[in-house]
Amino acid sequence: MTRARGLLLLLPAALLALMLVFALAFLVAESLGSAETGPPTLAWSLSTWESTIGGDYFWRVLLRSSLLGAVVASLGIVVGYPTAVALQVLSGQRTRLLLFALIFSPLLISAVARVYAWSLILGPTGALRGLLAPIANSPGDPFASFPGVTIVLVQNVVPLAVFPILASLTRVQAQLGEAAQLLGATPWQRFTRVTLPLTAPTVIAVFEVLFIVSISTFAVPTLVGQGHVQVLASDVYQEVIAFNWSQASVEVIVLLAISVATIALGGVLARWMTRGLPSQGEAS
Amino acid sequence: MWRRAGTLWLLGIVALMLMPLLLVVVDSLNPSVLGTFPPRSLSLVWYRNAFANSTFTSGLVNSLVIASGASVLALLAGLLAAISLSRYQIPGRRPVRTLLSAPLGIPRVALGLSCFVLFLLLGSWSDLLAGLINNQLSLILVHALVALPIVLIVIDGALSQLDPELETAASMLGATQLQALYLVIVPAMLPSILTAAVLSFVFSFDDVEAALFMVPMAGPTLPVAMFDYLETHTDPTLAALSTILVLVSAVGLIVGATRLGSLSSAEVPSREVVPDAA
Repeated sequence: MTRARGLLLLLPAALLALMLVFALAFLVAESLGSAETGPPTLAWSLSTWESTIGGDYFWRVLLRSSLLGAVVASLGIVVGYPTAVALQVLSGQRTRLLLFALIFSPLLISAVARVYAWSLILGPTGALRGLLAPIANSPGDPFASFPGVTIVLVQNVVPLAVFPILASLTRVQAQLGEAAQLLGATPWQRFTRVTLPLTAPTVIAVFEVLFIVSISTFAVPTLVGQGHVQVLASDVYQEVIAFNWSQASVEVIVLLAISVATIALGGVLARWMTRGLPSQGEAS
Repeated sequence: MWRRAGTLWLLGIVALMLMPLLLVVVDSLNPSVLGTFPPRSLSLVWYRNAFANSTFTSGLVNSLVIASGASVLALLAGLLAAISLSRYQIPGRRPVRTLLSAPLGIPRVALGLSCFVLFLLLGSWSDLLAGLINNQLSLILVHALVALPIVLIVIDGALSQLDPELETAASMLGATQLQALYLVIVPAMLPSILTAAVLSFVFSFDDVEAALFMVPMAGPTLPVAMFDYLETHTDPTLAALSTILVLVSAVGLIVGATRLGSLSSAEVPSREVVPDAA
C-alpha cells in the first residue's frame, strides 16, 4: 500500500522523464530519416549520416566548436580558480553569500540581454571596441568574431567554475591545509604540493562542464558572431529553420556524443591523476 | 600585499559580472541612440517604444503564461517526486533520481530539437494530440522538464532537514499519511517551495534556446522576440527589454539568495529544535 502510493506520487515526474526518453528516441530515429527537407519522415537510411560525415563543412564546424569549447573552458578555469581562492581566503560567511549572488547574477538574465550588454562595450559603438580589433580577423565588426564570442561565453561560464572549485578548496583546506602548515610548509608549497593536486579532479570536472556548456550553446555564437562564427549548435538551428530535420538530428546526436565522450575521458583522466593519492572521499 | 591583490581581483571579477548589466540599465534610460556614456539626459522613450511594439507585448504575455505553467507543473511533479523518493521505499531510487536530474545536463539544443520532433510526429499521427500540443503547452512541457531537476535539488535539501518525528507526531495525533503531507510537510517547507517556484519561473522566463525551437507551436516568447530583434537592430529598445528581464530575475535573485542562505539555518524545524519526547 505504501509502495503503491509512493509510486503514484512519482507519476507526474515519471511522465515528464518518459517524454524525454521518447524525444531522444525519436531524435535518433529522425537522424535515420531521408535527407530531404519537409515534414519529418522515418525512413531507416544512413544517407544523412553519410552525407554529413563525408562533407567538409561538418568537420570544419566541429573543429571550430571544439576549439571554442576548449578555449572558453580553459579561460573559465583560469579566471575562476583565483576567484575561488580569493573568495575562500578573503571573505567571511556573510560577505561570501553576497559575493556569490553578485557573481551568479548574470546567469539569471537571459542570454539575449547579456549579449546586448556586451555589444554596448565591445560592439561598433562601444567604448572598448578597439580592444578586439588586433586579434579578431573578421572583415567588419571586431566583436562579431571568435574572440568576441569567447569573451561573452567566458563571462557566462565563470560562475559555473567558481563554486565547485570553492567547494573543493574548502574541503582540502579543512582536511589538510592546517596539517601542511604545521609540518612547516610555506604557503606556496602548501598550494603547489597539496592544494593543486587535490583540487585537480574538481578542476577536470569543471572543465568538462564548461566545455559541454560552451559547445552546446547557440544563442551567444549566433547573436555575437552574426554569421561569422558558425558552431555546431548554431548550425543545428539553421538546419531546423530550413526544415532539414534529419540533418539537425544528426548534428545534435554528434553534439551529445561529444558530451558523453568528454565526461568519460574526464573520468579516466581524473582517476589517473589521483592514482597513488589516498582516497579523499568523492572528488567533485 | 597578497591580500590587497586578492581583494582587487575579487572586486574586478564582480565588476566584470555586473558591468554589462549596469550598462544596459543605464542605456535603457538614455534617449540617444548612440549610447553615449554618461547619458546627457534620462528618458523612458525606449520603454514606450518597447511596449508600443506588439511583438514584444505579446511575447511578454506569452513568456508569463509559459513560465507560470512550467513552474507550476515542475513544482507539482518535483514536490511529489521528492517526497516519494525520500519517504517511501521505492525500488531503484538512485537510478530514478539520476533520470529525473538528467534534463539539467542535456544541452538545451538537444532538448529543444528532440521534443519538437516528438511533438511534430505525435501531432501528425493524431489530430487530437495535435490540437492539444500545438500551442504554449509544448514549451510548458519542455521547460517543466528542465526545471524539474532544479525543483528536486531545492526540495530535497529542505526535506532532508525536516525532522521525520514531525510526521510521527502527526500520525500519533490521528493524521493519515495524506493529511500529514498537506498539513505538516508542505507548510513546513513553504520557503523552499517558494524558492523552487521562483527559480523555475525565472529559468523559464529567461530561456531562449529551447523556446526558439518551439516557436512554430508555442509562439514567440519575450527572449525569442528579443533574439529576432537583436539579429537585425541594435537600438536601446533592447536595453529597455533587457532591464525588464533583469527586474524580473532580480526578484528571483533576492528571493533565492535569502532563502538559500536560510536553508542552512534552523528556519524549518530540525532535529535540534524539536526536543526528544522520550
